[in-house]
Amino acid sequence: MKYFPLVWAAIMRKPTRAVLTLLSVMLAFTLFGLTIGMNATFAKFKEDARDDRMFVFARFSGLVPVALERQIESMPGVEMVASSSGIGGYIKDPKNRVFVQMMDDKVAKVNPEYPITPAQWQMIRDDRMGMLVSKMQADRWHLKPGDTFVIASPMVKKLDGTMSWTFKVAAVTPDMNIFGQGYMFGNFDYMDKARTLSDQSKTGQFRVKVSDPTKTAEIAQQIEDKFANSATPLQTLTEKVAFDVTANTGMDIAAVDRDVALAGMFMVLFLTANSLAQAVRERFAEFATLKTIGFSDGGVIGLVFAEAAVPCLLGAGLGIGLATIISNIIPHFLPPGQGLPIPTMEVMVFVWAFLCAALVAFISAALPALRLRQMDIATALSGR
Amino acid sequence: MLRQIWIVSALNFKSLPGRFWQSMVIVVGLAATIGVMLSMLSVSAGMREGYAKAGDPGRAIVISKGAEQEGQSAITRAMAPLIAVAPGIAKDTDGKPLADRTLNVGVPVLRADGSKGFTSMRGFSDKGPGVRPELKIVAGRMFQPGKREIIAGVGARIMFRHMQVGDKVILPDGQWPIVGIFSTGDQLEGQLIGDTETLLTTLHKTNYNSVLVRLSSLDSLTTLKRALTTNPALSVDVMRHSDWYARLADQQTFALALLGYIVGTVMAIGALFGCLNTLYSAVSTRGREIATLRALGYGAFPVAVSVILEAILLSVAGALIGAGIAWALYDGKLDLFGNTIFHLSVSPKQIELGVIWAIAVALLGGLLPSIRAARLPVVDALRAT
Amino acid sequence: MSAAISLRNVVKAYKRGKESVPVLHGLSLEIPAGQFVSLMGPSGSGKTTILNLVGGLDHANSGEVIVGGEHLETLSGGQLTKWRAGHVGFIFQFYNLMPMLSAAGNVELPLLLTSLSKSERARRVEIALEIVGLKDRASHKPGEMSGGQQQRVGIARAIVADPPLLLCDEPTGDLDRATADEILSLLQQLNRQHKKTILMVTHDPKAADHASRQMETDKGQLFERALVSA
Repeated sequence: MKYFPLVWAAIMRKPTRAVLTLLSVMLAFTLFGLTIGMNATFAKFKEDARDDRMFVFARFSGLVPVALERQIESMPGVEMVASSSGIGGYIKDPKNRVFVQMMDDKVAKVNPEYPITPAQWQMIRDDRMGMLVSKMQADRWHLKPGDTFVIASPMVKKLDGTMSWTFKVAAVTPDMNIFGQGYMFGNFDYMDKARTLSDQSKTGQFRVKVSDPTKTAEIAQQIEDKFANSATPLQTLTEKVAFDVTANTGMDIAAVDRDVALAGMFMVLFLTANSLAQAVRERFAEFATLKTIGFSDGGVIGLVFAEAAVPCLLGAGLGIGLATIISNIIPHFLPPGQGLPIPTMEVMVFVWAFLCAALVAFISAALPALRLRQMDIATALSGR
Repeated sequence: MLRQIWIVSALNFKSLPGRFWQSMVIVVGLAATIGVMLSMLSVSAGMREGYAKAGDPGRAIVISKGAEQEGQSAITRAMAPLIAVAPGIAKDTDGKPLADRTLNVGVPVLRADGSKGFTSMRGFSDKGPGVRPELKIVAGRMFQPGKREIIAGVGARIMFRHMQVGDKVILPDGQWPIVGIFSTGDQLEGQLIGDTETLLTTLHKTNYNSVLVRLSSLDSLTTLKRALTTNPALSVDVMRHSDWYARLADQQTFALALLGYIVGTVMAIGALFGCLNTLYSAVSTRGREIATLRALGYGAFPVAVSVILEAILLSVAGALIGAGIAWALYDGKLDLFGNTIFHLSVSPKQIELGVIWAIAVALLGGLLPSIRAARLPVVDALRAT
Repeated sequence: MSAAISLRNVVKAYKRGKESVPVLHGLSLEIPAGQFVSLMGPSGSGKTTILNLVGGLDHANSGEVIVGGEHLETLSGGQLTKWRAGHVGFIFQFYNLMPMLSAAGNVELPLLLTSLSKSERARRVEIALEIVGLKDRASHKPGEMSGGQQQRVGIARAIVADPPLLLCDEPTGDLDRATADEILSLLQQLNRQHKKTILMVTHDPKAADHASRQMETDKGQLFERALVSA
């Protein structure tokens, strides 16, 4: 654009001011990226959730007998039930928390979308101590296939009275969206047989797949009703609800994110509007000169808008870039299972950012532009 | 020197209205930063406060070794009486030790908005009210031991459905009526309480979760701990109740607080740049005024200080406004996170934190401009149009 | 190319708040194409107003303003702007250059409004700078130049689009004697060699002497001062 040198010269008239404004805008958009990116992650969770699956676990805490699997499977509409149970512990130091999910043979069928090949599932069936470790966890704990490691888990009572579980890494598998910090999958039998007798043949939760997605809620209720008065009453949680962070925690985090992003935008709007108003005020005579040369009202206003748009759009781009870097670094500093989702910078985040940037530029330029339009050239020139 | 600082600063403040909108950039920047940060921290701060109130330092909790949550701990029927007779435990009026065998299980509830949620169902034994004297019945009556009755906390009554006196809670052997509403002034208010033994039978469980004791004195914890941990028949941990809850609070609020501080930091840096911008421009506008003062004999240092004071005044004002907004919107509001009900908190301590951050931003943002003001070339500034 | 200027019965009053201050009371003026005219007079006598009207920067309350055959009083604000771009060049007392642009960048400004290619623009800028004698300072910024050099840049900018008419508002008001003479010689050169019509407002009688026709304003009326043969 042939007018760009003019716009650039105007912006760089006070280089410090231009740089500071840009940095401020960049940071506000970094925040924007992190918060709206987090909302994007939440939305993806909900999308990934399948409507034909649910989790079933004890209504009043504790473990449920694996034998119930068959009873639930025999219910109409239920296609398959798998068991999985978790071991929470640490590697060497209590600070190094890990969470292992011990899966039975049917989990692979109930959760076919897991990025684990049948060959890999077979590995942990063949070697009971085998463990499938996702890339993020493997990197964090420096594990590679063939490595043996020990997890200390004080909470699971073992038959041999110790608290240590030895695992061998069978394969390193791709990460999954829903496990933001990675995952570890082990063999259910390995855990089951090593537990104290009173805890054997029990599991922490069932994964139930129904054949007709429209009947999920109905079947969930039926399951609860069936076992309501039994020795182990059950509670269901459909996957759609389980992956909905708002429904789960009772707190509308998405709204909080939006409000934070807006607060940041407001701060930026104030800053750029002010900066620009000041710049235009300082250069009133220059604008008048441009008008005498023959620049039209529209032309002059266009220059002002461009002057606002450059730091806004550039700042938005840099800010989202920084947000991307931050969201790639953060997972390495959080213990797993802390439940802080990693923001994803998907296309929509960029789009929203640029829309906001354009809006901020537009509003910032509005008042000065109006002033320029109403300017009486003669007075402006003589005012020198 | 002090006098000079006073005069130069006073002059500066007098000229402030002429720089109104630029100055507002600092105020708005800090207001937004501190407002947002305190609003976000109100969640973790509120949760911590709720936990802190529930943790009486005059109480101790006995859980099985290695347990980090009550639900993970198991105290057998055999272990309970051994714990109760340990030294260091206060005695009730009837001469029996104030040691209560408790239960803590998750129970599903319906939140006020209709979504499925959870809360804790606690079991009190006979010494329950004695160990927790802060519990008061505000409606209905206390449950009778041995009976299938429940009392619900005032928080639960607000945040969940079907928590009024007369409503029923579904348990394996049928529906238990809520016979009373209690208040404790702490986190327990979002939970339900019933009789331990009756609950154990209903839930087909055999182990208690913990034993909660009232210490005979604040120092008797050491005695109690030594006695219990050296007993070969027991495998337990003993923690002061306040420490127990402090640890729980740390674990639960870590991520939330971290998020709040990250957001706060990012915004503070953004506000910092805005601050720098405004102050540089202020110094430039005041060029003639500063040059004149210097020509008259005022030192460079008072000039520099006047810039810093301007920065502090504006940012603290902004921080207070932001804190005020956060306080007005959120402080005291009842909120729910997972299975914890708590009051959001924007406390004086946090507002103090906000002000400290504002001062830090002011100092960082004012330093360079103040140096520039001090170094202003007097002669040129006097001549400039 | 030259432009003739005709003002017929022009009335102009300014609004100061609620007050209406009359400046020109039915003024008439005829300037043939190619003349270098100087206009002197006390402040408030209307000389700058005449300049603004002729340059299409302002509208008269009544009367006709005809420049190069164009009736400016019939044109709207937007049309006046377009007309200005190719027909008038302005030269100011305080130069009004863009401080962050180089001399060449400043001179190029009027050409940005045209559809000329980049190389064509550069060529014309070079020619304009050569005429004012600043070809070797093309990449310097105003802050690196003396007052006289800055005014030359201003003149180069005024002529780069080759307008037939130049309007000067106190062009030497901020310069010392020697530099002022250089600038005025330059203006004479533009008038004689390049046939530009020049209307110059000035306080300085010595500056006015450089013109081929001198006029004075007093209380909104126009008088001939002296007819000096060029």
